[in-house]
Amino acid sequence: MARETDRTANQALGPEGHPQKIMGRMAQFLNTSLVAAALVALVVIFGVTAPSFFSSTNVPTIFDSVAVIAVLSVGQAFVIITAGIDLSQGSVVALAGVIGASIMAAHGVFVGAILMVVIGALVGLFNGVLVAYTRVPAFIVTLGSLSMAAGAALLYTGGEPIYNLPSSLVNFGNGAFLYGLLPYIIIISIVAAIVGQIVLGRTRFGRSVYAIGSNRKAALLSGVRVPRVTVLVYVISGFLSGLGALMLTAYVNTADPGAGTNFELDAIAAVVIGGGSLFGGQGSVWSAALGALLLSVLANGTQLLGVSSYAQTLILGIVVIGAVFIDSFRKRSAV
Amino acid sequence: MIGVDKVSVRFGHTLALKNVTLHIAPGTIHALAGENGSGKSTLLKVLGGVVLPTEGTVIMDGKPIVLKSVREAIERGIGLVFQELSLFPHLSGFANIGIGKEPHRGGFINNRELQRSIEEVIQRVDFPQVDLTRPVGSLSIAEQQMVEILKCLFRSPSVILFDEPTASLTRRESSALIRTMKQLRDTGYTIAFVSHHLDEVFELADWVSVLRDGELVLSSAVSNTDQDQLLQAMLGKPLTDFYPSRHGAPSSHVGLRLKRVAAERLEPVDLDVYEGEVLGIAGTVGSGANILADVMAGWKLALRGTISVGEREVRMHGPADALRAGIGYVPEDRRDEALFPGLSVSTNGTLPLVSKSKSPLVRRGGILRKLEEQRSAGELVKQLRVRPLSTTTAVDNLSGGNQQKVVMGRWLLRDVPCLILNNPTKGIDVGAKHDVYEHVMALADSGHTIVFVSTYNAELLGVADRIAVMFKGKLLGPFMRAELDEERLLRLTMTGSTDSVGDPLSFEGGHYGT
Repeated sequence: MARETDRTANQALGPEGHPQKIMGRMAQFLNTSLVAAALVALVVIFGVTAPSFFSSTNVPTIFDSVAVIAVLSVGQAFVIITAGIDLSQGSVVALAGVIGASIMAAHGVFVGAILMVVIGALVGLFNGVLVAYTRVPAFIVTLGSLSMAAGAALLYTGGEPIYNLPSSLVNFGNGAFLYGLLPYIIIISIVAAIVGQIVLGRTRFGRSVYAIGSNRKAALLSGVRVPRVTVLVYVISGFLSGLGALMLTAYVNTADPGAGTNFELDAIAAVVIGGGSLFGGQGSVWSAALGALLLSVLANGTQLLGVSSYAQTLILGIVVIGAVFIDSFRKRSAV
Repeated sequence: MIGVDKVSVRFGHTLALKNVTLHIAPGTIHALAGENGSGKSTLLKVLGGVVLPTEGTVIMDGKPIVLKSVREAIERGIGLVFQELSLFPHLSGFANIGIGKEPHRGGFINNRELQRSIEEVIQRVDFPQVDLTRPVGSLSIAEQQMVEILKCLFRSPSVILFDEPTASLTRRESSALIRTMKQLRDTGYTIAFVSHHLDEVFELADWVSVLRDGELVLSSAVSNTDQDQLLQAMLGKPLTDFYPSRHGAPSSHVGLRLKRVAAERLEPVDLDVYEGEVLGIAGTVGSGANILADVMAGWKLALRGTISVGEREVRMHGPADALRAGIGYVPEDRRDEALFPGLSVSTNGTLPLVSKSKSPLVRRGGILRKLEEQRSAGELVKQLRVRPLSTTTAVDNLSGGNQQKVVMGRWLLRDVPCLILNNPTKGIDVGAKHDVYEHVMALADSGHTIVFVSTYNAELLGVADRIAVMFKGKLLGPFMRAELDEERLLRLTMTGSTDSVGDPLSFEGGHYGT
């Protein structure tokens, strides 16, 4: 995307800039791929120091552990770029999961799956309408719906997990391509990230998302349909949370009303590591997904090296703050 | 006694004050007058410790003093009441007044003692009633200003400086404030204030000093001078040919029509602006010109009246409706209302066109035509001479003038028949100003309807075909450009008196021949 923008700008502006083109491209590549570079570095380090890192059992483990968070981080990226936040993602995963799973035995996997994403989208609609049309801040709205969705999931199940899910779902959740290296569910994450990045980077809607986050007043004066775009952003986040519920249910073979706790925090961390700003107007879906992968690789690698899970949690915190700290020094290419 | 001795202030390459010597007699009210940019506010800031003079000194009680900060000025008994109020909206009046000065015991604020000492101040100067128990955010602007003045008095100053104290007040509120200021003088305070209204100078001040281009050009007892003398002293250099010339002329078709449009602090306005016309709207800060511009752009909603573009009435519920009807807006506050910081020049320039329905930059399904977008942005950058000549750089990297060109260029890409410009040359350099004027002229020549709101009279006389004047929420005129000169326009904006130009209705409200 960046490359094309660069080329066409030079076309439009005539001959100038041609010698700087290569330098510009390199600078842009380095800027957008700091996360990717850090990710590669981590993979190399763990590959060398932890012999089992590249084993055929560990690689799918990493993918499985990142799949749901990556999908959530795509939705979270949309919300955060508008300068909002969605804290309800984790409990939407729980609520959509238990309701959808509970009807799968009677009505089939497909109907249950549809129900999950519909429930996710509905909670997103609730969040979005409140954020767009009232003066209640997004933080409070989604904090409230976090609690509401979590409570609803517990009420619906009486606190009991739902077992005995159809075998087709379980087979999907644990199947994989490429001799078991590439789980099916990570394919969903990759598709979500690609589609999300296209929508954000190449559509009018995506442009409006950046504009609202950068300056809401100016967006209004430029004719952007601010309330409508805001609602839609939360619907996307809710929809993807519902999709995450489906992936998680299929993978763990259970729908637990307590599932998904703190998932939203991991998703927010992934967006921020990917260069997203909580003040809005900055970030990308693709690098948010990479941020999620980075967190997952870090957790996995440190575990293989025998770091205790308590210390891991501590390290993750340092990485999040450190990423934003480093990010504050570099100049990002503008959208 | 307070004053300045041979004070010069340099901001970058410009001298805001040149060798000014001025003494303010104790127990008097001293007015500082002058055009925008004359240095009157800078002088006030030097006295208040906000600006440190490059050369010269502040004099207090015959001795030179150095004021490095507002805090030092307060400690020496100099209080400053800013135009922008510096209150905490969620705290009560009492809490705001006492802030940082609360009587306390063992770290706990003694609220009863605080209230008592504030009420003592109020009684001493016979201050008007303000409910100090309420959060100041819920008070009117005039009441908030009273709180601000009390906050200043609570720090027991001997000198109080006011920066355009009546700028955001209604007429009635202004006269109440003027009464209060006189009471303060009569209780022994020394007062200096900056004003945009000459009638206030005559009503309130004992002594008046006029600045022009940073120099003190007149200082006199108010009783020894008159409006004409002050206006002459205030007028700057003669008009140069800084302004580009028009090639076209206004048509007889109405492009934008306001019928009895009224809003808060805006008395009903009837106004026709013609296609191909640049209509200037003059007015000092707080005159309501800003409000009128915001109302025309749908940014503020009118309480009554109708706005029409061409023959069609606009159902105005917000800026989106104005835009759909063909009214583009260049707001006064670039940073806050116009720019998208962190986003590229291209995105900043093309967004209004991108968000248009049936936009040439958007394919079916909402997919952007990136090539077209870059071409449009490149066109904008070229036509308006934006520097640097890049569309991909973040708009933050541009100078103010170039940022403004990007904002104006939006309405070049999304062609709107009507354009409202609110102080478009504020805070930009001379070269960029010239480019803005040229662009405005070119738009008018090609038949656009332009409303050009400005606090800077000289530029209105340079670019406008007709000029209307906002004075205390009322629209005067419009007057034909030929009817006006700098002195007449200045008199209109500062006194609201139409004597020198005759009744605007006498030449049919400034109509062009039909």
